[in-house]
Amino acid sequence: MLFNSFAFLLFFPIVTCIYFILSYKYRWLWLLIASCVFYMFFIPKYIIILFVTITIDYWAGIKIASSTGPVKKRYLLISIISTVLVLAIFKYANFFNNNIHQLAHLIHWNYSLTSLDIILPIGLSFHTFQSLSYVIEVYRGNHKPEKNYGIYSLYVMFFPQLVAGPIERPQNILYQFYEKHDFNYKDVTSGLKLMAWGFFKKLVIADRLSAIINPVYNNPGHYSGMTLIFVTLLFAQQIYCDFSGYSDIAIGMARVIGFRLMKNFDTPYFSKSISEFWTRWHISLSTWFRDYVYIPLGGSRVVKWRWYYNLMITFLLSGLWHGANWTFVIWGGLNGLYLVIEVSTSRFRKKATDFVGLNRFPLILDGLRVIKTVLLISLAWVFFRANTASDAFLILSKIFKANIFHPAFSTFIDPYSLFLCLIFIFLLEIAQLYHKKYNLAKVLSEKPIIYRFAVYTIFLVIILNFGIFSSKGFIYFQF
Amino acid sequence: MGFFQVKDLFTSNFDVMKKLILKIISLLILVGVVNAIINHFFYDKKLPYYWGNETISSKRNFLVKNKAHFNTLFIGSSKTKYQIDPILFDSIVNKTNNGNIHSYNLGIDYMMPPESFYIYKSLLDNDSLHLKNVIIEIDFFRKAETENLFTWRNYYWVNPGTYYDYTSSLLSSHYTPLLKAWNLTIVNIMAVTKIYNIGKFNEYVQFKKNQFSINKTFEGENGFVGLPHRIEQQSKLEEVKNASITAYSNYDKWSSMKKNQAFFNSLEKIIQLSNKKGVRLIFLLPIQWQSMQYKELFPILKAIPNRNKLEIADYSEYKPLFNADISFDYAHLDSVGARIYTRDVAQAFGKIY
Repeated sequence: MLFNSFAFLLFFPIVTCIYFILSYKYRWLWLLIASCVFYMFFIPKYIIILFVTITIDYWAGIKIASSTGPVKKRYLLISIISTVLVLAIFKYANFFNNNIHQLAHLIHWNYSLTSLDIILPIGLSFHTFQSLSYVIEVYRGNHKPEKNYGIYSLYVMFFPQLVAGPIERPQNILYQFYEKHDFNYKDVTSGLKLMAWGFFKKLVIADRLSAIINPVYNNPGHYSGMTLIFVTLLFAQQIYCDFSGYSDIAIGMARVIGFRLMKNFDTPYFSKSISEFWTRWHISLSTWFRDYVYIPLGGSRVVKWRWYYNLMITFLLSGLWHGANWTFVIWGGLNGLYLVIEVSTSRFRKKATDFVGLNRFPLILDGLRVIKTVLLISLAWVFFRANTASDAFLILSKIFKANIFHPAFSTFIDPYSLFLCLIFIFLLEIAQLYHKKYNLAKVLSEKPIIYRFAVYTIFLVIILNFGIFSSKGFIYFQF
Repeated sequence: MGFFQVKDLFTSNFDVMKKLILKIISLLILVGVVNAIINHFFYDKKLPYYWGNETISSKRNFLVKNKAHFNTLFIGSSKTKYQIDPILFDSIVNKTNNGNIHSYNLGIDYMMPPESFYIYKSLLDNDSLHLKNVIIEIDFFRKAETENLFTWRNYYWVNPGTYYDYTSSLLSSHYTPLLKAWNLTIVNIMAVTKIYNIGKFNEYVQFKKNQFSINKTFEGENGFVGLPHRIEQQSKLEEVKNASITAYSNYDKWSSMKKNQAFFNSLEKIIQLSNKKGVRLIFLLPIQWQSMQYKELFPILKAIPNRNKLEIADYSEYKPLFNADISFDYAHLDSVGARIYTRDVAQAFGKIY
């Protein structure tokens, strides 16, 4: 079920109303049923696979907690292997098989294993990582194993974050299923406002941008370098509005029913460096890789080459997590490379800044750093968005050969849509900056009711009139 | 602790919930009012009545441009668009009846009442055509489909009149209560979509963007488009045939049943409008997909005078139209079948000409 679908329009109010009417002790069960219904809207039979992994991890969690030494580790491995195996089969089997095919073709080897005819279960990568964080935390002794099978199932399947996160840790969410969540006016209204903000990002900006970006990225050979630069910068906004919009809806929805989910985005395009960007973009995934891959590899507390290696491995894996395609692997690798260059040249860059005297103008320096970060990140998005690696390289070659004096934008863009997109992106950035400094929601809540109603009305009228309501899926649902 | 906390709900939460619900309702009313103002001062002034579909726009523009030439109009769904060849129709009628018919096919895919009635009324009200005869396909009101929800085609025709006709006809229909409830839910969402301008600006932009292509092209000569031969659902064609056999074997019984008064009233409204404009309105019943549709329509057709109706749906009378060899799919004839169907319609029309 998509958040921007007719089914969801009925689903969420019904689930919420019944949730608040039900006795506390049955609420978790209601949420579990609702989550199953939500999941089964995609491909119903896949819920069996999900329950198989849930059962294995539930059992492993209990076994890990009651064991010690190598046996404990063995249970952890069983859990990790079984969970990752499902991901490997559904997401990566065809990718690896296709690569072997190509390699076999090169060396004239008669390899004939056919690809699997399967569809990726929705949100598989997300709930796989959430399951893994549970068994790892239990293994590390940071969390007790969950004894209630239903509650553990709900931890994996909780519908607001089931298909695209935020990827939660057991410490943050499991205890909340035991809490009594009364109808709380403040939570409900702030949750609804956050949902509305998410819908604005998704329906008004992201979906409108997709109509401009898709034709260009589907036929990059037909467009000029300047067009590709422009569209790539727009894609940076699209993916941000799409995914952070989804996260806002998910977090807002959970808040309506009294749950607190972790923050997933923190105005990432205002970051002054690549490393800062990755602490503010898809935070739940970045911290997952930090805690379960980067730090166990040794993090930064190792010799330099090993540190760089740790960064590269972490980002290559992150790229692979995003998709079974070389474009994603390259995207991850490129971001890893940015970080390696950033940490290895930090002293040199500081000296250069001092030498030029830019440190005397901190505002200009910060501005330049923000622009540099946005440009580098946007350049990497080329690999993320391109349909194939060869398309990505074609786009990059055109971008680097772009003639600034002959933009040749032609008539590929609908001027109304572009104008609207630019206006709304501008408003979004202003609102985000203001919110960061003054807390927009708080400022608004202190205003008289007439003022607030006027703001809400204008905002809703904008979403309704300018939104695109043809149920486009969220970009991150594919992962 | 009971299963439902009714007591707790009323003592601790209900007042807060009531407060919030009242605020949400007030906000929604306010948003509705603002959107109504935007509608009145912007969209209603900028969008013509036919903005919901490119083909409608295209065909309507062609028709208006050539209004001096056409005096007869076919309005209906794909069963009209792909099956009525106006050139053939004119030649048969003019030859056998010494008539002076120049017809145009304004068939549009999936255009059923109330959309077809809306288009017809709007044509009469806005475009001062020189029509003598209008042959409008009679089907029961279109089924509400969720996949088309929030698309302009699904709601551009919704206004207080069409909304009333649709809902009252549904309520007085023979549909099951569940089907009625489902269709009413969908039609109300369609109305809300219209009132709240959901996604409307994007559609306004698309409409404006398409104007150039609409003005340059129109589908086929005189609005007719023939389909190739391609029958893939033979078993369904059998169902269609059986539906006709069942319906016409029960004709007397079904046509004596209580008619859907609300639907009939909506027909009467357009009959009166036609009379006022000097147009002879004829309802054409094509082959239906299910016997349920015949059951709904027979009592209504019975109440319409013979000179205002054509029935081309009885298997015993029109056997060739149920033949897979001249079909495109179970619901449509191919171009060869279209010639036979047009001939049948022309001959039936000739009898009441």
